[in-house]
Amino acid sequence: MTTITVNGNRHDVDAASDTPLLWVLRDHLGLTGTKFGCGAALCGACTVHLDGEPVRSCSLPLDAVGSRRITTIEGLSADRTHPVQTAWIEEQVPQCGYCQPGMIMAAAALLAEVKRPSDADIDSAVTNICRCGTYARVRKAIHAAAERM
Amino acid sequence: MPRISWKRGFVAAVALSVLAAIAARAQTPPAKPPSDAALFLRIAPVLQHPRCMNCHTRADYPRQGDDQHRHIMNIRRGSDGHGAAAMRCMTCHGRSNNGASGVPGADEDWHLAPLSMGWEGLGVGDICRNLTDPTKNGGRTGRQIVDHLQTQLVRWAWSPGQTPQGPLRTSPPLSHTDFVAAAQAWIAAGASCP
Repeated sequence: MTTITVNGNRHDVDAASDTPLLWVLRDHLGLTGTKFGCGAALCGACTVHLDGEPVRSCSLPLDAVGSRRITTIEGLSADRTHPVQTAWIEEQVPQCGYCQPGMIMAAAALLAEVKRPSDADIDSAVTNICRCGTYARVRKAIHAAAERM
Repeated sequence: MPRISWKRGFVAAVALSVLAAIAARAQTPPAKPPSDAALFLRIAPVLQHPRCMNCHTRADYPRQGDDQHRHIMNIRRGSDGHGAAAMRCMTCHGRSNNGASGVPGADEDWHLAPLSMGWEGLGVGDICRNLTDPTKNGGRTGRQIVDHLQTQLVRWAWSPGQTPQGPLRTSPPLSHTDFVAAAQAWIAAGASCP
C-alpha cells in the first residue's frame, strides 16, 4: 500500500510500485481529468504537478512520488478560476479538448515560474501536442493569463 | 696455407654470433610503455560515444540516439543545463530507465553538461584539453574527474535501457570498469593530451 497526497488529500493506493502515476490517478482514484495520449512522455496530455513542478505522469512510477504533493487538473483551482483556466475560457482555446488538461497544467507551471513568458519561453515550456492545432489560442491565452497573475 | 682447427673455427663463429647479438640489442631499444598522451586515446572512444556526446553538446539542446539527432519536442538546454522553465529534464526523465515508455533515467538529476564542457565538433586532442582545463571542466582536479566518471549519470551509459521503439541503446566500447581504470592510469601518468 502506498500513500500519496493528491490535490491536498491523502490516499492509500493498492497498486504495484511501478504503476505509472497516470493510471493510479485515473483508475484507482477516479481522477480522469488527466489524459493518456502516448505513454511515452511525448505529448504532455498526462501532465500533472509534483510539488508544483510539471511531470509527465505516464512515465512516472508510483514509487517515485514519495512525499511530494500531486496536483491534477481537478485540483488546479477549487472552482475553475485559476487565471489560466479563465483565460482558456475567454480565448475559447479548446477544440476537442482532449489535450487541454495537460496543456493547462503545463501553462500553469510555466506562469508559476516565469511571470511574463516570451513566445520563446512558451515554445520551450509548453511542448504539449494538440492534434486540433489550437496552438495560437494557447499562446494567446497564456499571455492573457500572465497579465492577470 | 696453415690448417685451421675446426674446433677453433667453431668457437670463433660462436663468439662472433654473440658479439653480433649484443650489438644488435644495443641498437634496438626495449619497448616503451605508452605515453600518458597515448593513454588518453584509450578513453577517447568512450567520450566520443553518443551516450556521452548527446549530453556534452555545444548547442542549446541535447541530442538523442546513436545518430545523435536533435532531441525531439523542442527540448532546450535552459539557463542551467537542466531544461527550460517548466520543461525541465526531470519533467520526463526519472530516476531509472522507464521500460514502458522507453524514457531513459538515472538515479541522479538528468541534465546536460555545461556549455563549457561541450565536446561536439572537437577532435580528440581538443576534448582532452577541454577535460583537463579547470576553467572549462568546472574546476575539477584529476581525482574529481574520475569521481565524475563514477556518478550515476555517467554510469547510465552502460545501462542505457531500450528506446521507445524497442531496441536496446548501445553502450560505449569499454566496460565501465576498464574505462575508469584507463582514466585513472592516464591521470596518474600526468594527464597529457595527444
